[in-house]
Amino acid sequence: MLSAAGNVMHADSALVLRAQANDRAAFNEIVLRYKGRIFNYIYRTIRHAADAEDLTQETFVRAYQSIRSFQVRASLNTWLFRIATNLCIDYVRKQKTHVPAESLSCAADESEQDAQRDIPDAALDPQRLLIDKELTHRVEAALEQLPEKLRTALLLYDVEGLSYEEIAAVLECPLGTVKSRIFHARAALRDRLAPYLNGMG
Amino acid sequence: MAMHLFRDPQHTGCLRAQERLSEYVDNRLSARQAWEVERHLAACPACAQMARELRTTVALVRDLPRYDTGEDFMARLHARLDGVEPTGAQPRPMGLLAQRWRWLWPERLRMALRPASGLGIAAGVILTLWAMPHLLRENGNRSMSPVGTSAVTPEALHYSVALAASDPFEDPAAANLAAHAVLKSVQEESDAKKAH
Repeated sequence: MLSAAGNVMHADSALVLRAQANDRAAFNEIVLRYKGRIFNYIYRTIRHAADAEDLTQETFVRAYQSIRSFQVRASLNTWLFRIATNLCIDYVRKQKTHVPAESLSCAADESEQDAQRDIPDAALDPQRLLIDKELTHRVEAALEQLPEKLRTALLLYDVEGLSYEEIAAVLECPLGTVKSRIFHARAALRDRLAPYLNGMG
Repeated sequence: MAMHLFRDPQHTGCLRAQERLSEYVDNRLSARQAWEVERHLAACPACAQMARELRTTVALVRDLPRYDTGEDFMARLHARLDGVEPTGAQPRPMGLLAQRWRWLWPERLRMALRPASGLGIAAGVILTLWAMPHLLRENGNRSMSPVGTSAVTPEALHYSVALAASDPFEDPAAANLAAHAVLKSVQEESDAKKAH
């Protein structure tokens, strides 16, 4: 019996096979299936909505260009996140050469928070309204202050739901490194959030 | 930045438990490891507090609002894709049987067997290289042995003559009978030699 992940992979493979044979409708389906996750991941990594949308577009343009070289037995999920991660790395490098480093790491910057509030299509789950908005901002600020490598691993694992093995493939690093980065990222977040966590959980 | 959870690094029990807390929260520990962590948490309020905070932190991160692309994303993307062609040759379509086979073989198993198949090939090459001189030597001994030649040739000759004399197409048992005749004659020859 195939697992749920296996079923998703099977469905992805069928779409990839069609896309490799110049079926644009199949590629469209791939984009619709993954664009939300890729955008959310890129946006949470670079914290700039317009650029995140451009990088998401670029992710799918690159995927389309090289779809024929994609091995069907590989994971489409992993492949797309790897393209997105490489684009984010290039983007952050370019930003660092043009923008002073302090402004990039200034998580509590009010303008950044305003920009985040203006993001279109933010999920408006009624249950989410119950969560303390201030605490959400604290979590986002703490996340933003994490070193890039730790944040990437944490986003892929806790936000995008990739497995340790998939993250190791995306980041092209050993499984032990992935575990270590997730552990340290969570520990650092907990340290930062500890004053606000009393009475929760 | 404080990069770890440890409040009391001197305490080895705390260190051991805290190193595993992240995986404990994810239920990734073995039953024994989880039991060890739980046993420690039951006895150590500081670590138990840390575990609660870590669990809450993870829940908060997982519960962060998700964002999606703008409404014109697909239109913009298709406009870009119109000017782009996939590069590389179109892969040959996979047959139905090959597709079924691929899903019968889980990816993990295939990955696990990949190094094993490499080892198998390497072992085969080594075995061939090792065995080649032995095989050559064996063949050489046989072809050069006068004993073997004299012993084998008359038997083979007897057999082929007897087989030719019979007609296996008419009687399938003829070849067996011919072989039996050869064996009998060889036995008689051997007995005669012993008598001499």
